[in-house]
Amino acid sequence: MLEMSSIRKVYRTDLVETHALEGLSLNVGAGEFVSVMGPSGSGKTTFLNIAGLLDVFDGGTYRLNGKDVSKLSDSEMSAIRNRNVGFIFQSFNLIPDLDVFDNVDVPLRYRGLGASERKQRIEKAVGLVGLTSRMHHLPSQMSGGQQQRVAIARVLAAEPKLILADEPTGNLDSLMAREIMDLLDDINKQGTTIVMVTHSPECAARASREIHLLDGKVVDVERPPAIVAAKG
Amino acid sequence: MEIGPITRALLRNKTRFILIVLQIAVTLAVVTNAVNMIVEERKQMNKASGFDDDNLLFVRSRNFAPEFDQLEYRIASAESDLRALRGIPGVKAVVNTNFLPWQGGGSSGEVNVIGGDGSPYRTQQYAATPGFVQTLGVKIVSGRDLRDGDVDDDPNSTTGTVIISRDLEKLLFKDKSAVGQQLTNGTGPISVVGVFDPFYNPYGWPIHEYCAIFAGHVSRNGARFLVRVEPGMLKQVAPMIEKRLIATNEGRNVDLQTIPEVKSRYFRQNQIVIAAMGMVIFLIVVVTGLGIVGLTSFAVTERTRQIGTRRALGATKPAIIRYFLMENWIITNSGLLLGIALAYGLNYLLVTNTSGVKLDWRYVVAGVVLLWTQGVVATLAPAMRAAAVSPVIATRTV
Amino acid sequence: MLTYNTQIALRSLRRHPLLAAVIVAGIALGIWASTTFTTVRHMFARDPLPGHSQRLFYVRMDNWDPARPYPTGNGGGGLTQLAAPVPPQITYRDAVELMRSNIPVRQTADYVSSIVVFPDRKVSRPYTSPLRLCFSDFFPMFDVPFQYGRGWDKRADANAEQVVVIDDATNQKLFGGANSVGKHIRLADRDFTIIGVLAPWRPFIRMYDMVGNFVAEPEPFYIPFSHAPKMQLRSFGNSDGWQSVNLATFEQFLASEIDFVQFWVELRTPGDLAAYQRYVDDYVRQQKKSGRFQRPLLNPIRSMRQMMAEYGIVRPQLTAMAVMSILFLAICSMNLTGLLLGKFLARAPEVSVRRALGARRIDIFMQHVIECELVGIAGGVVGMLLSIGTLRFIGKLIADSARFSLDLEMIGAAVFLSLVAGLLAGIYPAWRICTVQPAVQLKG
Repeated sequence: MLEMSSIRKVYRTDLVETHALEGLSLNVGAGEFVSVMGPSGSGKTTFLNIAGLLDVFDGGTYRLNGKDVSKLSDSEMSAIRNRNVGFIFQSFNLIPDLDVFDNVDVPLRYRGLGASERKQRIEKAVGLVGLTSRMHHLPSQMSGGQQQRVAIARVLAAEPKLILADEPTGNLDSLMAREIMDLLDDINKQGTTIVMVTHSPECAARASREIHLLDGKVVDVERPPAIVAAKG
Repeated sequence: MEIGPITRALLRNKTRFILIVLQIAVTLAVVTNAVNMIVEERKQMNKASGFDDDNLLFVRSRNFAPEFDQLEYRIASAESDLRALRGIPGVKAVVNTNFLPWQGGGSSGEVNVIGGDGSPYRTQQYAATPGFVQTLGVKIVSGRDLRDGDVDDDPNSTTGTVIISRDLEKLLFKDKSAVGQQLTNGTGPISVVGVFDPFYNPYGWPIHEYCAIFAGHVSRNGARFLVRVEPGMLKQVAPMIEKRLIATNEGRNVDLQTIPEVKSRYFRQNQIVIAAMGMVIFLIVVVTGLGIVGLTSFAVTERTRQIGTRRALGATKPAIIRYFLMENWIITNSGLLLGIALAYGLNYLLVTNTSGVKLDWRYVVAGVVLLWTQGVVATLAPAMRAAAVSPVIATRTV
Repeated sequence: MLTYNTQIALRSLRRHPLLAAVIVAGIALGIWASTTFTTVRHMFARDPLPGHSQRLFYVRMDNWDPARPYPTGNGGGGLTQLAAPVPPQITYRDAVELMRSNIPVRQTADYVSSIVVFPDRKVSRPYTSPLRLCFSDFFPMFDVPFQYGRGWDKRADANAEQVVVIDDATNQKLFGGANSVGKHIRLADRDFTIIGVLAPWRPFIRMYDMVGNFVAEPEPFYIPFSHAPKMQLRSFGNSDGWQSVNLATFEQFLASEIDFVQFWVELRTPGDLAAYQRYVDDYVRQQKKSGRFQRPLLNPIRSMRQMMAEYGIVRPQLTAMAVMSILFLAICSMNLTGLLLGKFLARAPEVSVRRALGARRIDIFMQHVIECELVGIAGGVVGMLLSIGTLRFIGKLIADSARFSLDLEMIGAAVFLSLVAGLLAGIYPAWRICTVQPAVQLKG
């Protein structure tokens, strides 16, 4: 699904050049649930931005679902983000002036779907995350866990093949964190590829594979058996 | 597009919505009524007199020598002034008359038709020597022009000879001809020998098109003349007039004005209203436009994170621009709806309290189109700035 | 605390000079437009003789055609639809008669004529000038200012003394501006003695003669009314008549029904007004017996301000433009609210720090309100200066250099408007910023 080879990304300001990614190579197969870990400054966020076509890179190749992304125009990238990639953000990024229904609706509108199909998908997705009773509440009226569930519903309604999650439980307490991870598990079982950036070893353990980044590079890839046993 | 969600979001963030809606509403109200006023003023300024205004001069002799107390002396002086004026190169025609166009007033009186139903009609009336028609540049359309033989300067005389304007003929005689008819103004019969056309001179009373010209000299209180010059020769001829007339008779002062000056003074107030209202329209549109630019810019800045999220969720750059344009369009239309009501309301107030004129619906349409355009233009720059927001912002932690 | 808040406000404005300039410009524009248009209207609408005008009354009588009333509305001597349907002036013979009443504390009949002035040949050629014939009370009634000498007295009126009052411009032209009281000047065929010289006098509205161009300059020469018959001075102002008569001789003119004289009285009490009305009505009834005044009895005696309304001194366009300019100020205010909202809310982090350090909500509120008032005052000053310049320009255009100026009343109004505009525009943003929860801002 996701093939990166020797990706380089440099941030330049007037004074400083930061080498955020320095020859990053990894592959994620379809249907995998992969976690990406590393200390701050290791390039996790940069990696996610590039993976989700939010940002461009300075060297290397990236093939998403077999297609080389370097030749894509802005509107083609937007289309891929809309249909094929789903984002779950650490700070939820719900639109504060819209209720749950309209928030989940946003990516569907950019796809140009008809009103009844959108309604169907929204109701199904919100039902899946268990928030049907709050369909017309605003984000400010909900807890952090509920907001993140709405964000997940937003992703589900779009039915992407790949979900990129950026510290999905970073702003949540441990109870809510577990709920969110259960949801992601279910989604993955349905066949969606999930790449999750996380700090938390407990969350990372829920993934089937861990990737570690350090100084912009992948350092090792392994499956810690002890924590696999703790799943379930 | 996403009218539903945009509207719902707007209603949850009422301040910006209300501010722009109010501004647009008041702007539409003021702009439409200002245009209304301008058009009314222009209408008043556009009535043509039918005379050769651009090439006319008014000359006045102010007598101080004692000889001027005698009527015969005054008339002889007026005649020699006419000859002197006609001799100036560039002068096409001269008439001795107390008519001066574009004053908003003059001299008027009531006449009725001898042999008619006796109803009196008010008309402008002036005295003039033969030459009135050629000097003003109008035409005799029936009968004949005044002749030297018609001139009657006897102050005790009770009769007179006149030519009248075509509109006065229609007023007095309906479809019949006025030539050969007789009028009276309380004293002896006045014979109508000819009809001229066109004639329009704005007057205090509604008698702008009615005029009767009596054959006679005008010399009491100083002779007055209208001088017509060859096209474009006003500037050359004017300075020669005073010199020539003082040379003819030193016992008086001479002053003159060009009819374009008189006309300009008459319309001065209209011109000022037009200029002032034009300036108000311009300023209001600019100020409201800048206000929209500012408020929308502010909204873009406030919503940077949201914009980045939308881009991350698949919005293209044009989609972001369309979002802000659509949002502005919804706000503008709300403002215009309120504005149409305010425009008619303001117009009603103005009409009842200041004798304005009712609002023509076409100005409202024009105002709506203008403000639609202003809205789009004002929103474009902030919208394009929004479209440039990178989706990377979505993953940035606060 | 006030000075501290002012300091913070000033510092904040200085930090974003461009934004501050835009905000000040916004208010200045609104104040400029509204002050200019409301002042122009005010100059026409205000009391021309404050404290005095309510005692001055204008007398008219209906000696018009029995077949139809004097036409008003749409002109007719400048009268609006409000005007009474009577001629705007009265006849010579009626004016002379009315002067006999002792009910008014002051009264004058007057009209405008034209006269040839024969100054010292070394100074100037003879020239023709407008001239006003009036009674001695004219000068105190209309607060006409003198710089040398004074007007004449009732005896001069009775005896047609050859005395003249001249204006400042004439005094400058013919006598170099010196005190010319006592000097002689030849008018038409006789010598007049200068008894008074007016100070420079250009009332904005010629409140004593509203017929015709009421923003024109006053006449340069004034002589007693009683000179009219002997000097045969015809009216050069408006005159109205409904009969066609032979006016060959001047005596016929004076005896005719031609209305060319204006008549003003000064009455002290409402009782005096009622008594005077009865006097005029009785006079007209008596005249009816000899065949004059064949129309129904109608002798309106109206105050100066009422006459101003009847003459439509305030053109409707002036009121409309004043209203529009106030709406424009409202728009500028709303614009300002938006700008201030953006500016204040962008500063939320700093405000939160202040709140965390102990500032109360009211402190934050006051700090921002002061900032709004500073901007309002700056905008008001700029707007007023622009307005003064514009008014001078308009004066040159409209009214042959009549002086449009900001009197104390209008300056006060402009100051008030700018403070109010600044306050109204800023109240909501100031309230918003002071209610921001500090914690939300400080977390980031």
